[in-house]
Amino acid sequence: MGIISLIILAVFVLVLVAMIALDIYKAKKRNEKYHLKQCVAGYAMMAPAVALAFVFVVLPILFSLGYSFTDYNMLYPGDINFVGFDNFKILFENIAGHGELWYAIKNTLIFVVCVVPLQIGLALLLALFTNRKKRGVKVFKICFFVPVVISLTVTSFLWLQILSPEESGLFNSFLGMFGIAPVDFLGNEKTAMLWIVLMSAWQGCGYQMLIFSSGLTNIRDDLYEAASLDGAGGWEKFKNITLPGLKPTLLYITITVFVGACRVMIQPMLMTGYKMHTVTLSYYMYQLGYSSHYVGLSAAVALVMTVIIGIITLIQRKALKEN
Amino acid sequence: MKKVLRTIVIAVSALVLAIGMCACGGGSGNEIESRVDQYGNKIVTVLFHKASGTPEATAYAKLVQEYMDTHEDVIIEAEYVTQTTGVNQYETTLTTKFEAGGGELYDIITYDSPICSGYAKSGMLYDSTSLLGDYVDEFLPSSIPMYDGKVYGLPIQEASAGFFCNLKLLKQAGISAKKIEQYKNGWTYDEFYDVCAKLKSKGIKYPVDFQLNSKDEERRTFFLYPFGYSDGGEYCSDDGKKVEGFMDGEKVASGLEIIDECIKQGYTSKDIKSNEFQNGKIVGMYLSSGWTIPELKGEYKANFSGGYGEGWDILPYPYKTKSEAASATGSWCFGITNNGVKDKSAAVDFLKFLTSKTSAQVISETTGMISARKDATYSDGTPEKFLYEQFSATGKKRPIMPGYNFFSKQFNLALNDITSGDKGSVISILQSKTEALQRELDLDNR
Repeated sequence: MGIISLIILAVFVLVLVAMIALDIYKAKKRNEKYHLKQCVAGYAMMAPAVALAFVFVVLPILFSLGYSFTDYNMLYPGDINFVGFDNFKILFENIAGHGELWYAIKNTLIFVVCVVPLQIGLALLLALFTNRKKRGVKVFKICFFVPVVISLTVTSFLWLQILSPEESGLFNSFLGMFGIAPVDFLGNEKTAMLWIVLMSAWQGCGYQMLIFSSGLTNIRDDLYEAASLDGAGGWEKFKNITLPGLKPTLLYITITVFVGACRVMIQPMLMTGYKMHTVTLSYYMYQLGYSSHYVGLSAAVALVMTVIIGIITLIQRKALKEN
Repeated sequence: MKKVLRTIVIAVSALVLAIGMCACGGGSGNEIESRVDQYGNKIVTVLFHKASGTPEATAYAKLVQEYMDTHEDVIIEAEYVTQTTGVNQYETTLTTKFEAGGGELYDIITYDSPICSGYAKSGMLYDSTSLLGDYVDEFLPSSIPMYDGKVYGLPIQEASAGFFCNLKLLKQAGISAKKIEQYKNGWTYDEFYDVCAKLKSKGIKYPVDFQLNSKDEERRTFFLYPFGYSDGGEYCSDDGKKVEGFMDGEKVASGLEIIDECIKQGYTSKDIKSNEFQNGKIVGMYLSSGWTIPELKGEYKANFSGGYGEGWDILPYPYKTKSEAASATGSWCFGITNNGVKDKSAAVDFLKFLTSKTSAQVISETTGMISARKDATYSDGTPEKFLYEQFSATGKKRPIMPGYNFFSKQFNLALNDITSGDKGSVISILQSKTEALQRELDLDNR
């Protein structure tokens, strides 16, 4: 660890020196006077934030990037070897052979495709509902937001009770009132992911509702008034005023919900365990890294995942901006 | 063009820097002579796998205190980190400390016996063969955690599982006491199916509970792996590196078909809720281990009037081929670690205390598990005696392989497919899981 710390420190100092040198060079080029004191003071003030970002964001990314090209196994910390693209070859073989990674990608895609529109749609509906100037609406706003502040672990356990396959489970006891036999919602391969999607959308939409709400308050009332004078109905107002007004908010929410959805892990882990019909990319990555100790391979999955998410996010950004 | 070139240069530099940093990472740190405090007291650090406050952790804490009271120059620093499903905090703690090196890792750790090979191969566990010497002879040979002919610790206790049965329900189904007594000496798959069929015909909803619904995957492996042996099958080669040609063999499949058959006939289900057997109404037989004994003697006593022998009993694992009868075995062990501390004497002494006859008795009484010591004695006609005898006669360890975690994962995935009922035959399921497992094991062939 000593060597690593020294390297980190050296890189950090080098970057700072390079930044100052670049500033001096730029100032000279523009024939401006360079104020070294102010410049150093500026960097010194930035340093804590930069250091934190470096240690907790940049470094883990760099380590992960590096590990993806090694055979790093947690049980052999002193024996890390560079293996080139072997890890990626293993992963692609796994996909080709319909192995666990193939299922993980498939399930993550299903989750993302279902949860992103559902959660955003739900959040928008709730935001429109709670944004009305009526009495008691704030109570609803709080109620809709409550699941967000409860930890995912707690909500997962709560839903486990609701969806319990036993007759005493909340849903099953309700079905029992109509003479329907108990259903194993999470044990059924066809419905398990659907319930995870529903639970996740319910849990997360409160947060997006708040962001949409703040976006809605930024739309000027006179636009709606003018539209009303022109005889526009509710749907037309929504389509031509609300939606365009929410575009920047929608872009932000789409990207954050998409990235969050790609990282889904806690819900399948707690609600079904490691099963082929619910394993997701993050869960697979965790299983590889922590349970099987293959940090190198796990980092390779992370890298592939980052690249995929990055590309899709860029496409999303471009598509939403162009529209 | 300039921008692209700059991006490439930055990316390549980052990659080189990252790989460089990773190559410098890890390492086992510096060695230290011994662990002592400022007053010269020896310090032994221990990690237990149970959350503080649980009955088992309380028993360990009591033993720690007892040892410190009699050894004034030794300080035992015990930590209790629970074994959890999902995010395994215990193993994460262990591997992180192991990576840090330089005495960071505890002197003594606890670990589940099949993990021994992996920890030993990686160097996390210390070869204690010479440190423990003849002391290991005090334990049943099959309980001693060994890898490559070397001793890597001592068993805390032993585990044996069996079919706990509700005698009232069995009698209702027309199974006589004489027959039950006969089955206690060994029974075939056909006899097992016959009992299930009789229970089913008498309206018992679930004739048998294999604990297929358990969220604890290792528990499912522990209970169900013996069936793979019961027709003479083997899961892996002797060195634990090869599973193809073993786990996907017909004999393993024919042994595990008992689960498939029971699902198909409606004798069992993966929907049976926990403690349904203990409630005493709708489950005839329940595959479980020693920890169920205290439950049936205590909390659920009223549901089994007459107690052991009258209200409930334990039947052994059925077999397909008599000579291959196998039962679950292997529990948690204590192991001395390779943590960079050279002087292991204090750790060895404390380890011997923890595994002494009196300590083993304290732990056994708390957990309900049987002792792994040769000098353990159980009275005739007790469930503990039955489990101890079954363990001695038919106990067969979980597959010994450094990549055991992979085995357990794939075995569980195979169980999921078998219990789903629509994933093909048992052998085809095993073939696909074996293929995946072999690929994973090949990664570990350092």
